[in-house]
Amino acid sequence: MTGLRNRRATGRAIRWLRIAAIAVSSIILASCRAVTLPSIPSLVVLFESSSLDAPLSDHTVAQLDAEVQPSGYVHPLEEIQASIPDQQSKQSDTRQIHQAGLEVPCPPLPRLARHPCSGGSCNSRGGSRAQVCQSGACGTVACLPVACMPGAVVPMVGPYVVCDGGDAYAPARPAGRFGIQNVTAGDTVARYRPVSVGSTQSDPDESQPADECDAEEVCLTVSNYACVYAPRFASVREVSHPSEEASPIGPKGLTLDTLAGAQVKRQPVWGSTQRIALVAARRAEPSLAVEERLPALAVDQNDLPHESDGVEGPAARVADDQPMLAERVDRPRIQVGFDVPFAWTCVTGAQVMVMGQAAEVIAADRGTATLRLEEPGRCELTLCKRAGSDTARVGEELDFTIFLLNSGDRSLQDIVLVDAIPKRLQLIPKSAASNLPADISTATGDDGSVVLTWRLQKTLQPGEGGFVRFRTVVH
Amino acid sequence: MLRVATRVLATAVFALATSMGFAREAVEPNAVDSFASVTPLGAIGALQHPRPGSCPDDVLTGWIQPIDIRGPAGMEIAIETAEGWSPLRRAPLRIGLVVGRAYRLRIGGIAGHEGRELFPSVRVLAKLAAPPGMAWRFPVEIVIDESDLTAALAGSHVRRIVYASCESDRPDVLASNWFDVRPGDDCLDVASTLGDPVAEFIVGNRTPSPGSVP
Repeated sequence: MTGLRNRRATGRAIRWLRIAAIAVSSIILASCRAVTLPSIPSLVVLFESSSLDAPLSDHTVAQLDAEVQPSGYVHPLEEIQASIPDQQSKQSDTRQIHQAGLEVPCPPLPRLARHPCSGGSCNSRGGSRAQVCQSGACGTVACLPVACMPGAVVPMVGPYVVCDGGDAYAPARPAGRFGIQNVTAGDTVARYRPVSVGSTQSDPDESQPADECDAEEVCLTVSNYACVYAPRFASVREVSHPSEEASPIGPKGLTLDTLAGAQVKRQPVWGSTQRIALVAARRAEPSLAVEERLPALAVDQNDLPHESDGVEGPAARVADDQPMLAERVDRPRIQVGFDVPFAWTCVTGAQVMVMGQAAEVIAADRGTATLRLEEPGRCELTLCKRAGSDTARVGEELDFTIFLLNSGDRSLQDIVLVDAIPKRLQLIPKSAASNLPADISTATGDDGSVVLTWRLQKTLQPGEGGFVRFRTVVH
Repeated sequence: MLRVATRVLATAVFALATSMGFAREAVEPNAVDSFASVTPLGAIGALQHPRPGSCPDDVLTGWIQPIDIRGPAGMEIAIETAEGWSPLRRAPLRIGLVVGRAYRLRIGGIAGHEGRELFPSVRVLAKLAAPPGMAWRFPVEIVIDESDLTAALAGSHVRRIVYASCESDRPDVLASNWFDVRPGDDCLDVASTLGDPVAEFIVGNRTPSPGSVP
């Protein structure tokens, strides 16, 4: 009997021992669940506390312009690097260290990383001090706060430029003796005539005047574009009140504004007769009619593809019908350009003869030379436009200079230079000038732009040139 | 009976310990989401404190876009920095911000509302493709209208989208020119039709958390 009691007591003790063991193991198991994974040293990331009471001053991206001299400026990267040991020593007080462990990729939020992220665009060279950009998207300093953006590219907009020069829209053409038509805002065009053969003594090729340069023919030339970086900004505003935030919602989630707009669009007006019936109006508008005729994802059966679709274009047909016109357009008139790959043959010079005439090398760069064949009796006026600055803020003055050069070998007369000021530029009165004797006038163009005109009083001899200038205010 | 009680007790201990583990895990915030879920608006920008002096060009590379904040006469402005609020100073304020981040501003000196302050936020949406070395000379110009401030003080929520105009044939595009979008329209969408949105300015009657403003 006593042995039985002892056996039961022993069994109870063993049972309680089992219970205690289970409890202890459960606590150990549960506590292990809350322990983070062992961190990998290369991926340890220092997070700064989000509390405003313990702000950090280590990485700087916001820059104030103030009255302090620039010499006192401390490079943020140096400051960051210098503060890293301090960060490690003061981790226990104001900062929280989260060992991120195996978390990749990096979140799209700024973090101060001691080591480059695997998904970032920057890598390390020469330790953690030098952050080198592979893609060039981020610089030495900006790399740090954004280094953990995997594959992120800075959204860029612009550049926003204002250009003056060229001949946009309808091509300019001479009108009358000194006029030029189709001049729109931003155009810079000059007209001129070669001096007749018998009236000049300086023409070196008066015995062989060119056919293309008839004395009665008026030639036009266009300047280059002069573009200036001048961004400008405006804004739109949205004001909402707490009681008016919700827009009126109709059936199918459409706002009432949308429905009202749809009703307006579905009442097309065709000429002088307005279709009153709603169904007729809907079928009269092609897009709505197709929408009603066809089921979803169907092809319009009435619009069968023609066998000539995509085979013959209108340009090809024009060329076939008018071969003489195409030949005349393609025929070289004054100059012919050739691209000669010098780099392939290591030739540093070239002498090209075309139809018994030598070609002149006018440009040679990167193994390619551009040759020009010049015929005697050539009349040519070259315009070159330059802006006084590459950049301009709104309200600043900007001056333009137009250089003229008689680049032909015949004298030019009746030269009229016209510059239609772009609408973003306001001409400063009486600012137009010229180093050649000229009549300067301003007028209003067909599109409302201010047209500045220089009518040169002098005949330009071959190789002779000059310049005109005017000032504007950028808007 | 005792055996059943013992098993129930063991199960209870196990469940209690397990739930404690889950609770501890839930309390401890995930390191990845800590910024997004915990921080108030502008706290990210608060980690980045300003430096006095003209901004070197090499700093303005990459993700930093200068902005220029202007306002009505007498308006004072400050920005929340890592070291607290910068001192209030008369507008305009030219500052370089990281593209895509929201920064908190502090506006005082509102005419007719002396003593009252607003705490708007500003965010740069895109970086201007300025010529090299010209970024600081051509900041994004944000003009705060007086009606923005009065509307915000009256309890309205004002959102302003600044866009860079692409229209070269309109001479009347100015930073001070703006209009209100129709009710229900999104001003970001409207601005996208007029140009490239480059900055967002939001002001309302939101009061900062206690203790964040000295």
